[in-house]
Amino acid sequence: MPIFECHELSKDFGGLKAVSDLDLEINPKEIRGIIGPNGAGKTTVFNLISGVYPPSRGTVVFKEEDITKLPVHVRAQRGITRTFQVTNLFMDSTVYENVCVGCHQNYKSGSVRQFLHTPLARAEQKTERERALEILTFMGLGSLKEELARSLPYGYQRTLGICVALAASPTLLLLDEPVAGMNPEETAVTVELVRKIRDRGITILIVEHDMWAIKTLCDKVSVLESGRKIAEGTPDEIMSNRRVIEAYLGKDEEGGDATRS
Amino acid sequence: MNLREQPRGDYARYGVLAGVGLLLLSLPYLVPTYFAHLLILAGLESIVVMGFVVQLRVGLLSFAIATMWGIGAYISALASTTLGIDFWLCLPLSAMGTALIAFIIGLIIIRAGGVTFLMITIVMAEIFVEAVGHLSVLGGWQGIWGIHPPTIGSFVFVSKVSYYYLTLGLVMLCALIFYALYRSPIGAAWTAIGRSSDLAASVGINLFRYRLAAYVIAAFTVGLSGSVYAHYMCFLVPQSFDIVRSIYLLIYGLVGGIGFTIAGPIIGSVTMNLITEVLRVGDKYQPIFLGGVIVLVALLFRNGILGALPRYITHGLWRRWGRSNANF
Repeated sequence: MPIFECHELSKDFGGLKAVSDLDLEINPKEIRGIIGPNGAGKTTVFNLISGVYPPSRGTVVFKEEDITKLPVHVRAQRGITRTFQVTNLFMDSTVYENVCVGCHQNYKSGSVRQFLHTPLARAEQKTERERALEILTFMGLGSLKEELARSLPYGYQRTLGICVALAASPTLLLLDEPVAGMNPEETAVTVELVRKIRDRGITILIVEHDMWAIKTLCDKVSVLESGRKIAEGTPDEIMSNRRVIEAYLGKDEEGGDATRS
Repeated sequence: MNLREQPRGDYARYGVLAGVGLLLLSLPYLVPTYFAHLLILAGLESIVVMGFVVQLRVGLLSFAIATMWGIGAYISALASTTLGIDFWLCLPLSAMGTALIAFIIGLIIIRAGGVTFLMITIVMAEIFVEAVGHLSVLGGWQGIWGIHPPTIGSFVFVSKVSYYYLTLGLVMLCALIFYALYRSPIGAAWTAIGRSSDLAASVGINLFRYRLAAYVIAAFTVGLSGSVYAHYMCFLVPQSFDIVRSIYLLIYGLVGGIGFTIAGPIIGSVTMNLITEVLRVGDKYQPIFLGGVIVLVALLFRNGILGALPRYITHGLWRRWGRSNANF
């Protein structure tokens, strides 16, 4: 039973069909990759799934519930959180505070209790703070918790972005180019972290250009080109798929093999 | 907030706090009556600035903050003069009335957000002055006279000293309300929204709800302040609550330090009220003087007076999380 599905999902911007008739089914605890050349509509798909844009057509189903019309924060409360392609953090706050805000939706006590600092609200705050610390340690940022987000090196900022999304207790985590701009060592570390996150029972959808990362991580990959899905399968199947190679490298006019691998 | 750093700094801070407390209590007997008047005004204005700062915290830049103040003042004034309601009832009444009006307006204008919100608040500020000026029911341009002073038993609030303590109590109450809010997850969500609304929404924070809450709570406290202002002044004219007043209040906030949500407004209002008085800046030159102050703050003190103080004084005492300059 898939945890996430979308059917005939489409988004038009004026005359531009950014995404057309996309069908996706993601199973629990799967790591699914979405790849495609620049402008293929990957980030638009992300924004459709996380609820930033309403789709032009189609439905989004999560845990057997139609969430097509729900706004971003409600989808987050249902269990879909995301990271951003361009690093998006509370830059003037510390690492720890960033993650604490991520915990926000785990609070069960109402605003009045929080305002009055009743024992229940305080106890809850304490547990959430511990959870935030646990996530930071888990992701290897424990020793940097008092640093300002702004002052972290780029790679750590990307990791912190994942921590914040993770703090909100997602069941489906959307990672938008998590290793973009990282060097090979940082990439390897991040890939390992993503795998560890999956081992905690979280389903992951990942958009990435780094083929090595995709190949090592993903159980299944969907390939987009000009807003359409042109292929789907295991990383190995995808990389030998003729249409995928054409999408990336262009058609060879003489009919020869476009790749040299 | 953790206080693990510098225990000596903590003792020093408690000492300073106690000193400040004593000073605040004895102040009206130490300064000339006229300064007590300034302090009362500054105190009432500081509550309004707190409201401005909390709105800014969630990304709502409002030029109608003095308008809210005016709404609170007018509710209290009308309730007192036409219905003869006692001050102690007028006070919560105008707070709740202002909050209710803010709630209704907020439902419409907060979704607009950003620049649109700002433009609408400018229009609101203009409409309020014109509407009150042209409606004789609300006193018109001549204003409302004869607002009854507060009484406790046979004691009547007439002297500056009595109003000073009333104001002091009110400022403390509002500071306490805001302190409790900023310290709770609500305040963390507010700050998060102001710093990155996309990210805040992506972790499940309902932007509209939290913005509306900030807007309405600000209105509530500003309404309290407006009520006392009306009874203190005894008469009201609509021009006191025009957009220029809002801009002055905004500058007070900047001078105190916009990143300091509670102490900033207090320090800013008191300093600016005293400075303009001591330097005897006339009404004529006040805009030029304040213009100069803005330039000075923008160039040298991006986080106001408090931001310029050493960190061991300010750390953790007033400011909710975040250490560097607030994004303004």
